[in-house]
Amino acid sequence: MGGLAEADDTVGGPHEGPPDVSVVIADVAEPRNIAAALDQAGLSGLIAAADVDRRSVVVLVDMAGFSAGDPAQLEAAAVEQFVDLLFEAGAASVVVASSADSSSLWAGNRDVYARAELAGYRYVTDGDNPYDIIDLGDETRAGVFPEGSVLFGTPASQAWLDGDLRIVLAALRCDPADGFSGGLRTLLSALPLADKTLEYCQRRDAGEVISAVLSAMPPHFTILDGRRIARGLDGDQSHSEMDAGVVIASRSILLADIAAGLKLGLDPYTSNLVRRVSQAHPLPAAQRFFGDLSALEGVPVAAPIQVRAARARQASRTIGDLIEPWRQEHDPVLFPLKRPLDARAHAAITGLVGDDVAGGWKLALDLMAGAAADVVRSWQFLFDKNTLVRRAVSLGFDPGAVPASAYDDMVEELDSLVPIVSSAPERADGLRWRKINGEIVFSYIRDLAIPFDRFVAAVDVSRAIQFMSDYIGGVIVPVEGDPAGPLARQAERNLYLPQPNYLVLYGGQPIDVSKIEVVRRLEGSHQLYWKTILSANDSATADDGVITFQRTGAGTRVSIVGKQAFTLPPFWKLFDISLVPDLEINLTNHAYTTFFGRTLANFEALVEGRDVAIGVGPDTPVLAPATSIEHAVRRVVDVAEPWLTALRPPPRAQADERGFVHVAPEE
Amino acid sequence: MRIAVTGATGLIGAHVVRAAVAAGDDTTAVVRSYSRRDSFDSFDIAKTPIAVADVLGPMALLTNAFSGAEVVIHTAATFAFGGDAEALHRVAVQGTENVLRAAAAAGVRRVVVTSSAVVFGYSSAGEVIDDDRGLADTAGQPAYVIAKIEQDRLALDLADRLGLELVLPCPTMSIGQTVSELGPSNALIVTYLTDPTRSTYPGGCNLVAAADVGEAHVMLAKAGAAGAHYLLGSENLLWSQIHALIGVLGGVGGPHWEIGANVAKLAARSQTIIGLLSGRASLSSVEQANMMGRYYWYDHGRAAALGYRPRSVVTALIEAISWLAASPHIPREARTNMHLAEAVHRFRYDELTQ
Repeated sequence: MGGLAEADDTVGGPHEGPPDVSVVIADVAEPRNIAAALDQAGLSGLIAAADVDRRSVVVLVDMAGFSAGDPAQLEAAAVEQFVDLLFEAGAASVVVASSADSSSLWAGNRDVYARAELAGYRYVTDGDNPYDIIDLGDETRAGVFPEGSVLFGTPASQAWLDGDLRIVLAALRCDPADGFSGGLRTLLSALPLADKTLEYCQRRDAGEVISAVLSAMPPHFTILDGRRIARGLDGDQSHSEMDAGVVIASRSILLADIAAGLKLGLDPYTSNLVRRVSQAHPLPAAQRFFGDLSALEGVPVAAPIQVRAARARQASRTIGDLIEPWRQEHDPVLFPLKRPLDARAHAAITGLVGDDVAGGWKLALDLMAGAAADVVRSWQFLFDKNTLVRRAVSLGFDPGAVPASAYDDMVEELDSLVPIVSSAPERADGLRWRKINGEIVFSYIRDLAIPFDRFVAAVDVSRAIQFMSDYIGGVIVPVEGDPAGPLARQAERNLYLPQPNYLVLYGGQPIDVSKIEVVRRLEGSHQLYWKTILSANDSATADDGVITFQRTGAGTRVSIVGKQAFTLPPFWKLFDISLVPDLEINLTNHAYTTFFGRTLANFEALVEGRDVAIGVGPDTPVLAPATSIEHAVRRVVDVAEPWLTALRPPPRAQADERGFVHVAPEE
Repeated sequence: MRIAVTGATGLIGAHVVRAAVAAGDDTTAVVRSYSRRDSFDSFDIAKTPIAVADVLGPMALLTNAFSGAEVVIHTAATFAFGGDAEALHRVAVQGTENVLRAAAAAGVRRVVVTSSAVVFGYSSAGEVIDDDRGLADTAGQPAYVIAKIEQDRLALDLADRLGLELVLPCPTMSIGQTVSELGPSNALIVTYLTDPTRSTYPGGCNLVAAADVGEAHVMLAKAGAAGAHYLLGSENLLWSQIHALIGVLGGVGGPHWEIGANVAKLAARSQTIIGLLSGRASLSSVEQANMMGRYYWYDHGRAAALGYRPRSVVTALIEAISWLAASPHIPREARTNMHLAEAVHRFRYDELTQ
């Protein structure tokens, strides 16, 4: 790194040496103010601190534009202006870098090189400084992200890692879901996978993804160019803009984005990215702001209902992917839509909203899309789980910070539940439960006619939670011992669909819990103990238990003992069902027998060699929704064609050049 | 005995090959060039000699495939409801004519042509039909039934003219492991296991294990009377009884209610539309819905006189569900709702142990 700032310095997290959590907000009506602002924010110092032969600079830009001059991206001339400033500050070489995004799947000319050419990049600046353009997806390196990282198992960009100085140069723009978009959003372009919406925003939480990037390969400097701002409530999809005359610069990308949010008159933490990143990389309380933080005038603020609709739409693989090309304002010559359906739908929507100056139609369509996304999500949770996107998450906590005694205490605590639950009434076949301090303490026992050795060979007890019903994603990190051996400790985070599934209709969120675990394998008995220590979305206050696979004659006994307390959606909080004991008992019995019945079926299916995971995994190719619709329409047309042909009137006989009409003889 | 079997990758054909090999007969599997043969492994017949020919293809290939055989067992057919009637008819009638002519040309003495129990029709009040009933009238019958009746008429006439001994086994709904696509008989099990409403319908059916049908074919190849039909079934049950058995063995329970023909037709139409839009094959059709309320009950006395002893329907269902539960024919979500009966597990692990 040639003496440059280490990872945590750039975000102001724990580190050695003085933190640099200053940000400069510059009024750049005067161009020379830009250089001064960058200098004040420490750019020159960063470059000067590096060894002379290690001053290669990678400048990350987000080429989000869909037409010449689109304010959603920086103009090439503006980027080249910054390149000149970098050379003036002592850079040895500069590359401008970006990577393909999900739009490359549905529009033409969306690869980095085509976009750079269409945007007017010249590979040499007005100051006669040469620079190169690179696609960060071209060369990748594996093994950059550690176990427990949300990006574990995915590649990182080699060129981004190789940069001695990594700079994010982002356009400041409005965003329908986050309020605004700056450096953190642009940092997604440092990752190589092309379908960024799917891989970095739907399969993973974008805030966790950015946090993982900041931990493993952070930028050293961030510049937010707000000289003109893409405005409108749909941000990067609208070509409208406003002059703002602002440049924000900082060694902390998080602080730069916070300053941007303040400058736009917003609460910066309404942005999911700012909120999640600040949780993982908290800033010290004392931050230094240089410049005017008063809010710009004329920046639109989305109503909460619009933000909610945008977030629902973007989170939905089905609706989001379907609608994105339809809403995107674009130059059809430079960036033609690839699919005929998209082109037709886009034309229809443009016709509808084209003269809608007030944006009422567009707003209505967006709200409808958000509602449709909610409906589709509920349908998927209830009836079509295979179409959900399987989730990848980080562990969410540092297992090294958990003392070894906590594991031993957990085993003792859970073993002590056995006599309590054994004396509870049997509420349904194999199910006993009672309430203690508001938590359900339960046991569920079932004997399977599957030989024990065959069962445990197929159902690895250390992964038992991953095989449970409605598991939609998670991660296991070994902590101590061999997970396949007689005794091991591990940490796990897992996500389930809301239980019971119908809670999704009331706004129920997936159950998201991080746990410490102990694996024990004895002759004739395999066990997994787990204890929840964190729920990232507050979906559970308790989810602890022990599962045991035990040899019984020719079969296997599966028993689960535990205690749980899940957070109910707001609708259900209105009603205290404990006031109606019979209802509470019936609902609880139904929820537990359904969940464990399905879980045991999963175990059986594993022994049969089946895959029990729900959702679309990262290695499963899936047709885009628009392509699926096109295929369905084609099948319908093929079936209907003979009927349509029969209904069509026969072609009228045409008169020949001499005026005779030729008629076929009657049968 | 030297036996050539057409349709060897089909539900019945594969079981015929397995039974013939097990009986020590010199067996040749006749398959189309594009048929999947890797799945023969699961039938322990991977080493069976294969001849490539299509019953609707060049006659020379078919004749060559039959050369040296004493008996041809012709099982190749399309078993489907609601499909292309013309294609069904072509395979059944033209295909059978080609097989008989090729067999005669190859010097084959005897031909066993797989017919179907439905050629004897059905009853509306639950009477049991036996082998002496005679071929049913084709009026109002589904395309598959018409094709099989016309196949039999042609076969009886043409075999007589060609001097071939002809035997016509008539299986009822045959269930069990297959190396080819699911087919309507196994689909009836899958349909119930995947039906969230757990509905049944009026009428009844005779189910039989495909393995028993396979063994019976080999038996009839050796001992069947020329020109005779042989019903090959097991037990006659109401649909509600069949669904209750599937519910117990698959661990899904029910049936909870009985639906009428109109509701069934509506459901079948909906499934067809959903299948059309999703690109997935529909498990039921309006043609099948039209067959509701009828009793396809048969007596296999003639085959029994030759030693045919089919296993019970419960045993046949245990074996079929054991295989289906682990197969991709049962979607993951449906499998998650199943809790297999102990008898299914026992069969599976006893078989694996053997």
